[in-house]
Amino acid sequence: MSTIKVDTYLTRGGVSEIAIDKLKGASSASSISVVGEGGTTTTNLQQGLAKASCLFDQTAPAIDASFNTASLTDTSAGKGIVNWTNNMGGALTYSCTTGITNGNNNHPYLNAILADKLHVTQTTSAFPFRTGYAGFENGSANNPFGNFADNDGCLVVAIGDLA
Amino acid sequence: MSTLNVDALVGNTSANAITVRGEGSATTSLQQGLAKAWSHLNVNGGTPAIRDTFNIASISDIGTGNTRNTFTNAMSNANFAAPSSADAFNFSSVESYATTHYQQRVGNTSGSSTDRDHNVSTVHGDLA
Repeated sequence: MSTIKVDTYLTRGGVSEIAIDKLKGASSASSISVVGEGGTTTTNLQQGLAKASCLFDQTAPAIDASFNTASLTDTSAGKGIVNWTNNMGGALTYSCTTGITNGNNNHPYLNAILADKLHVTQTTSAFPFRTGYAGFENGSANNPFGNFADNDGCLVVAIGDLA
Repeated sequence: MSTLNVDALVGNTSANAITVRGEGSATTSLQQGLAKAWSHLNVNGGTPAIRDTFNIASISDIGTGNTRNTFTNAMSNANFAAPSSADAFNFSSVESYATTHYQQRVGNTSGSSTDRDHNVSTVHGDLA
């Protein structure tokens, strides 16, 4: 393996381009700073990267697209677990933003996918979730109404520290 | 495999612009693709506590279900994107966007603001 260590890299002219397969911090392997949009303040490359993502259809269930996701576990209606390929650094120090792009019913309900940490233990390798709907329906005697339900278009994006 | 050991990445033509080839043939922006902050809080009991954060200097309780995250390094404008979520069947939104902070509000299915165990949010946009 070849290693080049420099303090400043300058091209002789034109647009600079480095073909590289892997980036690693020199002083600390897990930390690289990047100059932000303002041109002065720096941000951290590792902390700014999403560590995993999973777009899935819980009605199947099936993974539509994913990154660093090994599998999807169907626990019961409206409940499941996303299993990571490479583990996170801590069970509760990473977190996931979630969203729904499609619902599974014809009612004007709000569909959602949410973390289920209070009922199922979140670990470094598994993110438990619940999906369902809640809202009001014109003329219904059941308002407000909601229930667990398998939804399509479920999205989970993990941020935080990798192991 | 080639490995570049480096502590900082600075654009050559423009310090704040580095291009990365995407998964296909198109290129994307390294800076624009990075989350500039994220926050994972425990607000249960009414007093917000940090589980883990990035680029968040402090948090404060604005009221039931409403928590302010104040940046360490500010954003360049208040038009950043901040997706958020909370645990169980509670719904989250972000309000009060500012270059120095944003506020996350969490509510339950009955329409009331509520303090939860896991309030999560990320920030995407331009650093100052």
